[in-house]
Amino acid sequence: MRNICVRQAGNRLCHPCFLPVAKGASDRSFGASIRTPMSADSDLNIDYVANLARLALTPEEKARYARQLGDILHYVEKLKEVDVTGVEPTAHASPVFNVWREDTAKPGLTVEQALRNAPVQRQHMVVVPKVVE
Amino acid sequence: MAATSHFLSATQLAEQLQAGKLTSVALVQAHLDRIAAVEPRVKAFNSHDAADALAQARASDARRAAGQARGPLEGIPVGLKDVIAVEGQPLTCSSKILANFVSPYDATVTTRLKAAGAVLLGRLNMDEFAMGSSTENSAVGPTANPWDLTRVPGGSSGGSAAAVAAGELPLTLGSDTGGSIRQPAALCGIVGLKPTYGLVSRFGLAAYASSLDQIGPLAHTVEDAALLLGAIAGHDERDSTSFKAEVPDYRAELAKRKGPWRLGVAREFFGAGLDPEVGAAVRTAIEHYRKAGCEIREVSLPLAAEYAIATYYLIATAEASSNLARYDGVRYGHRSAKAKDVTDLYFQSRAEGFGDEVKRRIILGTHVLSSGYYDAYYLRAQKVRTLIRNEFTAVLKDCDALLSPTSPSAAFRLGEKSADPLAMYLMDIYTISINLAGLPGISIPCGFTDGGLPIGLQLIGRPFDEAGLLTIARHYEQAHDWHAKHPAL
Repeated sequence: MRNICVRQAGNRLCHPCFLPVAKGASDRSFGASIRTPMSADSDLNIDYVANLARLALTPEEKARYARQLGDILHYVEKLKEVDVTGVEPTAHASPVFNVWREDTAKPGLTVEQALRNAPVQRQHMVVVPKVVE
Repeated sequence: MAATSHFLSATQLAEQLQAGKLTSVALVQAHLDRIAAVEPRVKAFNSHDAADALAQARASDARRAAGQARGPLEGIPVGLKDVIAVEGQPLTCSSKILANFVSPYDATVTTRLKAAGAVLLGRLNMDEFAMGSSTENSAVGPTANPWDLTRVPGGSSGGSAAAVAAGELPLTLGSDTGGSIRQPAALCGIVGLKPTYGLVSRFGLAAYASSLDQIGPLAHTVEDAALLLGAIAGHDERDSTSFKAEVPDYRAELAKRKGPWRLGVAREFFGAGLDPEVGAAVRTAIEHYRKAGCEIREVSLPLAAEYAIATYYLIATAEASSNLARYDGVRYGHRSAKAKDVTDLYFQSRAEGFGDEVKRRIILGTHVLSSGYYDAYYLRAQKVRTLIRNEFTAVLKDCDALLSPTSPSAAFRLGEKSADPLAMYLMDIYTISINLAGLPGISIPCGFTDGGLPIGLQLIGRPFDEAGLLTIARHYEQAHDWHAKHPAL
């Protein structure tokens, strides 16, 4: 398995068409925030991850994604600056937890409806390539 | 209908329908004519079924004639972003992987639109699986901005925004995960509302990032957005994050509530990266509120400013990689013809079916969830998300709403940012933190650039206080006529 090690080369995050550097702009503005220099050390093993994602990539895609995602991973390194000691993670923003309902049968899709979009079907079943030799 | 009436508000159309001055058939036919005239240039629709829409319109007219009008949207055409299920209609998410998919059931918002009497007309273009800010990531092809056909309409709900701006439809629904309703609304010069997370059911919305996705209205006016929101909001047991919130009559609330309000302006929303013309228009809009007696408070959101984009792209891509695992070529969607075995079927079907940006986000999301990286990326992002939420909660204790630009620039040219994903991600810089915090946000028109491109003002409200947010937005709208300006097509 080829391991493409991605490291940040140059500050591509400062995109010229997007970020005209305004004189006297606040240091804590959104624009300033993405120019924060960070040490880059984001290893992305593109073959390993593509395999986990069950996604066939061409050599060209691998090279391009590795470069682009290297930039993005470098950018998100900045989250390491935040002190999150004792902070609870937020899974979602709705004030709703542990939703229960009665376990009662309700009308659902018919077999025909459920199989309507199946690429290949036979006798009310989805057909797939042979799994076991 | 007169030639200019494609741009009548849904509220006006509802009054004409009620008064018997207009039939739904005439209204729908007029919009079908408009679609036929401008759609070759705008390309807002992935598909629409004219005969089906006219049949719905005839049924609506029959109900009204029989004294059985269903609800506030009776007879009014409403278009849906091609990510929301309507039984028997295509649902493609503008992706090759769902090119031939037909929805087996209705989304909850669809059920509610039907119950309100709406005529469902058309499937609207979008960035593939709602991943993008320009609608250029559509496998169908890009939608054009009605104000300048060489520019993007924004995204990901670009078709939903362009269809309203072009007079093809009076009302549409979009979905907003990081700005995908508000940013295209701003770039197309219309109103777009992302409701509080949990107010509108996500059942039947093809999932992108489930903890951030929310369906909301796009319309010509704030009152129209209130009308459409009222029809779709409310608890649904089929969405476990749906909140049992009281759903008021939003239009009635608009008339009841009065200012002045305390409004916050975060200094971080006006720094480097903001186009000067956009900044000037938004500052002028803030002055409107000050002159109306509102107290304008300078506030600060340092964590949201510094860390929202990084937090979002970890959480959203992680959730996307999980949600999109279902597209495997087995039960529905594209199946590769060249797969050697069942495992290869997954690899090849997904490779052939997904577009570039979707693949990029699946790879990133899979990486940040993978063993050894989960705590450093995903869990840490969820904790920073808590801190960003807390920051907004603290600021909104003392402010009825916050004011900001919706987008850092007006509509950019087609192709301008396609090669640089991060530059594209930054188009959502003012909208993304609102999704992380789960708050309601609305974009309303607040002017034009010298080049004639619309500019959007974003208002951010307290959780489940859409009535308050809409009222504050309408106060500005009533004193200006930006919403009455339409593109020459």
